[in-house]
Amino acid sequence: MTQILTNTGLYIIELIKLLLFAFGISSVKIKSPKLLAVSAAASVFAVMAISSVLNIYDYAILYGVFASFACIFALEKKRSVLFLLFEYLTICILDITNSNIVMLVTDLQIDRSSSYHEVDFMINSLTIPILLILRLIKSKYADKFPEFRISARYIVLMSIGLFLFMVYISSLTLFSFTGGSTIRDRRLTVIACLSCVVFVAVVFLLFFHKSNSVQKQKEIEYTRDLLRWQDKYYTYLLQKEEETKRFRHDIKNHLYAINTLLEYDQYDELDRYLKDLQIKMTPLNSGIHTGVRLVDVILHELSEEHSDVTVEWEGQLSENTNIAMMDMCTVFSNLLSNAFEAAQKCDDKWVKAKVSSESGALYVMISNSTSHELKYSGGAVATTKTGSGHGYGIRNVEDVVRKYSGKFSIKCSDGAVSAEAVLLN
Amino acid sequence: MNIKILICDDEPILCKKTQEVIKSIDPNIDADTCYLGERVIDIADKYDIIFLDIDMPGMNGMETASLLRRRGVSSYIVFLTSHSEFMPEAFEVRAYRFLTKPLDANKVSKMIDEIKLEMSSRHKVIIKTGDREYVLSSDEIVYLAAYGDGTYIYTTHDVIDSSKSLKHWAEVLSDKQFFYVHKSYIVSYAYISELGKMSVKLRNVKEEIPVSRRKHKEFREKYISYITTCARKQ
Repeated sequence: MTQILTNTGLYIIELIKLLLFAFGISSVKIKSPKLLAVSAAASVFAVMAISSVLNIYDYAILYGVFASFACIFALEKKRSVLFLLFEYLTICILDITNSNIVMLVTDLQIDRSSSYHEVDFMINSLTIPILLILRLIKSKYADKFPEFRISARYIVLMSIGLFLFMVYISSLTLFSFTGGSTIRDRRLTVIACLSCVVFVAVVFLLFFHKSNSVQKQKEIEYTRDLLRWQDKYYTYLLQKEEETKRFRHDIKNHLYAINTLLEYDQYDELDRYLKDLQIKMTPLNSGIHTGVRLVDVILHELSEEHSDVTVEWEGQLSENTNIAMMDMCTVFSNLLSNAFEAAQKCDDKWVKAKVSSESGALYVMISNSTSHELKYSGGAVATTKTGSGHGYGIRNVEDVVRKYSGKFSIKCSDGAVSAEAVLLN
Repeated sequence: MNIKILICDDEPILCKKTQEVIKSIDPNIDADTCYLGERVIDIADKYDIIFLDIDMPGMNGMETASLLRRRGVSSYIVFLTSHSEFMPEAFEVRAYRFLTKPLDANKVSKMIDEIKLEMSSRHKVIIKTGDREYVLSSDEIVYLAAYGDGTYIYTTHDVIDSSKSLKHWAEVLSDKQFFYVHKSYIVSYAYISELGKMSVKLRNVKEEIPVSRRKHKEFREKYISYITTCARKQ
């Protein structure tokens, strides 16, 4: 009975630590908190059942593996379980360091008697306040933390490293905190542990730095895109200006001609002349006015490039929103260029857009004809373009949508694809 | 349903042209004309739709619309322009649409049908106070705030003091249009201008309405689906 109790108790402590670290501090994404709670509770019962036949206490590391896999059902991406294991190893190192410091200060020794379990309990829970402090620091500076994005390769490598570290310091601990070791041995062991902790901290800082620079890189990319479109906008503006100048010059002649026709009562001729003039004027007003000049240019460029695609635009945007021009540009340039490229490949070529920027939010729906169905890979739409550098468009749009806590979806039916995005101000 | 339209353009000939276009769509529609923004103010509340020219001497179309809204006129406002540039002020006056001159009969007809549909689905709300009875359309309500046992109902141009509780109003008002964001506030989705982390800003309302932490996620999701359904309908 005591075996079951101590095992379960220790497991709960380990579980709390892992949950705190993974979801409180590094905010690994989960499907729903309820699911997480259920799977965590289920794992506690499982440990209870197992420990009635086997003393898991002797294989303490299994707790972490167990706890990590207990969360797997609740994770948004199953791959994050790797990250959880990595975090558990970090917790282990913190635990060992803590216990070594406590043992050094209180002159305790490791022994296998059951009275030691209580001490172990206490020592093990010491990591919880440390994690809580970290959590507090994080919540205070939450907006300065970039999203944690590290490739699985790094995590595997780091996990192996941390595991080896752990084996090293735990054997050191066993050696120096059992009978017959000197105080110097113990101090050295504590120092070794502390240096491990420092190393882990440095690794985390590096990870942060890496995520940060990835983020910055992305921002640079967006800004470059924006600049490119702005450049095109000014060229377009100059061209328009030139046309207007020419028209202003011409209008004098036209007025003179109209006046003359009127003077001689040539109404039929006048009617024809005015109609002609109207046709001449249309190119000046041509182009779709979306309400945002940069989007006008994006649309203009793309429809010029794909001149055989018919475009239909419904609704008005507003430049007067909290949505940054750069983000607006990212959304429209990516969605529209995808739409035009896909439509170009069909027999029936069309692109339709529906926008609305009323009531404090931006709504965008862009649909196009398509010749092939969308492919899905792991919940995301896969690119059908060949060559590297493709397929990031949609992901960039998703990033922007997430930034404005909105919603993005792509649907495909009856030879048409439609992407729908809502961005909140 | 017979709808009444008022056309305001400083150019009498263009007014007549617009009137003809409307009559050609449906001769039963009442379409009156006037040539001055100032005149519109006096007679606007009799009409369902007001076609307003933007460039007018004296009070221009945008100023007229803004004054109409301040007077509490809730008719549909349609702007007539000769250029297709869009004006951000249009949001402030809740303009229904911009139409470019010369008018395209098909577009006008489609728009009138949409307005008819929208009018028939407009939800009427009756508010009784001590001395009088208000009949409002639910889209005139911006937000409701509880005080003691009663409720202040903030409409686009007025504040009505109702003795009924906020809970009562939560049941009466459609959840498609309103959300109970906080124990003492209900807001209309239609007037949200900015959704913050803990609060929501409404158009033309100075104070920020708090959003309770528990409801924030649900509020955001419902709001997104409100926007989506509205935009799809258009």
